[in-house]
Amino acid sequence: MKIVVCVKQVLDTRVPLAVNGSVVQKEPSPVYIMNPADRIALDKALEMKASLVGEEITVITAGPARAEQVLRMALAAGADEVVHLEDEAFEVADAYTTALALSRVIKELDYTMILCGNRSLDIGAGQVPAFLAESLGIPQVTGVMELEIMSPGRVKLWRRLEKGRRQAIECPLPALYAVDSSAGQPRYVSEFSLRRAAKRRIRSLTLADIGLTQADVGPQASLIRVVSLSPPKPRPKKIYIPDGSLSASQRMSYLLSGGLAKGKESSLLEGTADYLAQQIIKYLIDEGILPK
Amino acid sequence: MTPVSDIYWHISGYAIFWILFAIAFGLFAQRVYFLFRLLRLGRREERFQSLGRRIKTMLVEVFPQWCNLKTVTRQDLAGIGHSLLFWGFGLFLIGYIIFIGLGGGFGLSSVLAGSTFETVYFSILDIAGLFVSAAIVWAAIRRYIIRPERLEASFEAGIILLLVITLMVLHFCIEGFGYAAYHISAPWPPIGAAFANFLISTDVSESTLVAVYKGVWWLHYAIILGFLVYIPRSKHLHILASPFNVLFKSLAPKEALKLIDPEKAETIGAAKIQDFTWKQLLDLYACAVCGRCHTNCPATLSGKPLSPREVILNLKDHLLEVGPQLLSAETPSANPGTAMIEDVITEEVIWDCTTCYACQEVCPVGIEHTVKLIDMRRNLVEHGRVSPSVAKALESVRLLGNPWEQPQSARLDWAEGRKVNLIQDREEVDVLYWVGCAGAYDPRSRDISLAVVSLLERAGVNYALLGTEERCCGDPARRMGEEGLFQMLARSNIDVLKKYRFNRILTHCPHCYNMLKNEYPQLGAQFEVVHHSQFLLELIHSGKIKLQEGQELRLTFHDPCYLGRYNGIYDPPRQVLQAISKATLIEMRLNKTKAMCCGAGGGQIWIQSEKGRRIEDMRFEQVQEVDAQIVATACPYCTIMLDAVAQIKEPTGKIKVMDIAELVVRALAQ
Repeated sequence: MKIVVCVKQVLDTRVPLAVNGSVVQKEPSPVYIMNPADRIALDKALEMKASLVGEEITVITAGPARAEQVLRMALAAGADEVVHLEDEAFEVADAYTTALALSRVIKELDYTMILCGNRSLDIGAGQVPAFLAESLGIPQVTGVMELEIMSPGRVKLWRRLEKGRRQAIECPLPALYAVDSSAGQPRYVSEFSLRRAAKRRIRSLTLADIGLTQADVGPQASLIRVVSLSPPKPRPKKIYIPDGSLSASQRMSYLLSGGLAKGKESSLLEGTADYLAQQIIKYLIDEGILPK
Repeated sequence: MTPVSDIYWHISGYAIFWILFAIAFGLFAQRVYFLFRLLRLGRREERFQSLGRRIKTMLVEVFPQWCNLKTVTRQDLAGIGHSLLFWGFGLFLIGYIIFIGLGGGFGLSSVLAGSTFETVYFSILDIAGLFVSAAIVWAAIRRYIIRPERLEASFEAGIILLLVITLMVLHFCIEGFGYAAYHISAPWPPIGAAFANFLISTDVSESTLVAVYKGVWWLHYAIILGFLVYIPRSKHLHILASPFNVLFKSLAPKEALKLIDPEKAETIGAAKIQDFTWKQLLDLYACAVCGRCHTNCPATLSGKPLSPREVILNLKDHLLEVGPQLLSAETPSANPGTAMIEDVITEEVIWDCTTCYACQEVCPVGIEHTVKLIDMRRNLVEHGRVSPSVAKALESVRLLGNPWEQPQSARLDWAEGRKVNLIQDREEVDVLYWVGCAGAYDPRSRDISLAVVSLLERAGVNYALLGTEERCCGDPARRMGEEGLFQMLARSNIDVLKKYRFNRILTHCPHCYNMLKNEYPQLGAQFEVVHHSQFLLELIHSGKIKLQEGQELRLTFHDPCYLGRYNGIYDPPRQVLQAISKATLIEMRLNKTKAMCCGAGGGQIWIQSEKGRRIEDMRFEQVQEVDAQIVATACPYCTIMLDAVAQIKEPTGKIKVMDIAELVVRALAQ
């Protein structure tokens, strides 16, 4: 079974970042790491390789020249083959174009399973897994905490839900699983292994190799345009002041309920994924957010 | 005339003598050869340099028994007992060779019998015999009745004690019955003669006396031969192994770990018993199970699974167990069935060590315990088998150049608002002040750096800092087994240091001191390094810093492991403290070479063993025992650990933890 792991090189957020307009200003010597969720995804792949015979792991990254670093880390950790889809345009490419490019590479590989991180440390949109799975026409499961191979072609996964709950899902292969960063602790890779990995071969691909140009992945092709970036500001929480004419117990219950502002209703929908998707689209159209 | 010259049931006594000897010696030699072959399973190691110096050390340690006398304390006088045993039995051994070997086996008794030499020598043996017997009795009482912590009331130890005292008793019997049977009367040897007189006074017949004499003589001989066979099969193997272990002791600065060349090393660190070097395996033979390492280890004392004694004995058992199969295996790197790491020594034990060196300091036979544990850590790191907290600290060192997860660019933040000299702005300075990671990033340790800088300025020292070019010295990485990371850091630091011109490197951290001075030379650097305790003493003595009359102060000093045991620096910090007038220095019971670790070293501050008590709690209790107002430290780790405990146990500030630099600043004349 061949597992393809998609990884991304991101900035280490322990080093302070400044924001200038819509650009992140890096330190003179920025520190880069493999996206933590991708690291866990790779570890999951390596665990499967350790327990099953005949697993092969290919790690891919789409990034500028400096992204080679994460491929070296992948080799040191135990990947069999690494592929670098290299172009400066990937520094600013959005999730859609990145996924498009990756899918073109992966389509040519004889893969059984694709693993990647659920979201990246820098942008955190969490969209690449979905776009990628859709491009490849395979099912996807996001927020994966654990996975188990029941039998060839049958995989059981546990998804992370809110408040510590888990959802168990069975998903046949081939499929894409997006692993949550809290699904494990990254396994340590020694400096000596990194040194040995420095000598190994990396398969390098350009955009031309996969039939794309810079225009296809550049800002013009992005579905998302970054308008501005600003440092996080604390969100002031509105405190609900209860009506003084109410009794003490009524005032207490209003305070404890979190002070829902009057006049707003909320409704909770239940149903299949298709039904819910349709309802959300209808709501967005009704509210004038999506065009009709 | 010895019983050897008689005929027994038509067989010559000589034949019996020599056949017995051949069997015993054969069994002895066979076992020793087997043990020697096991040593050769180990990796190579250069321990033959400076042979002259090595031989001298061995002679001094072994014959005057300095190895044991140096361990003598008021509470533990056993070293004296062992020395008496050693010297006494040594005299007996010579006696056996002369009187049993030459006199008996070679038939030279006619030359020796009745000679002055014999009388004198046997008189000496009589006295020695008394001392040896007394020592044995005392040893037995201690081991089986008093039962101190470090001694095991084992069966094997009992056998050895019994054998030795039996030999003493038989020696007196041989004398007594022999002199009585052959009517030899003389006042010397004293005990032999007295015993003979006693026997004569009883009405035992001459033929009985002769028969008993001969029987006792052969019994004595048989037991000596039995002992010979038993020695390499028991913990008494230490008799043979320990002089060699001392001979091959490391001449390098204490604990300077071996540099690994990843290109050449087949395995990184030690995963199997053959991954250790022959010297590390020889250590296992040299152990006499004295238990001193066990009772001085801070991990053991705080109830953690690690006991240095158990590590050595378990490894020895493992070697003896899998040795035969390894010797007959086709390849030298064959995998014995039992896994050394996890089956013989658990991962937990490997990570419990703080590398404080107490075990090695106190070991009479020169065993190197911590090096084995770190070699095992090296292997674990190579396979990613480290806890999340260790992984986090190591990754932080690799990516950010320090284990505190702070950015490199923030290395000078501690000096914010203060003017400090940077070496990048200077042509040449006298002293390069190496701040270290704790001194730069840890909130408590930053105060130490500020204190040192203000003293340097006050004294007008031509100093400078590396600023943001400084990276972790590599001590936590190396001690946690990440040898590759240490090498990377060391090379990078050496390259940076070589760019600048300075006379000496000053540091307030004993770990950085030890690294820069003792381990960086492995990678080609030669720097003169001084610890701030030594440097402050220089400044005080030369009058560059003047101290004023202070108030009465009761101080105690906590010796840092890496300053004291590792580098022998015990007095300079004390002299600095004594220069602070009206300060009374009180010594803790566990001080200087016996000082107890604060619990942070060896990467332990990031490893954070869960079991047992916290070592720093125990050490702080020892501070509370001496009723001091201030415990002075000379290491940022010690300051961090003890201060953390002080905040909890003495929240009112009754006992303060202060670095010597901070104390000097306080005592500065205006």
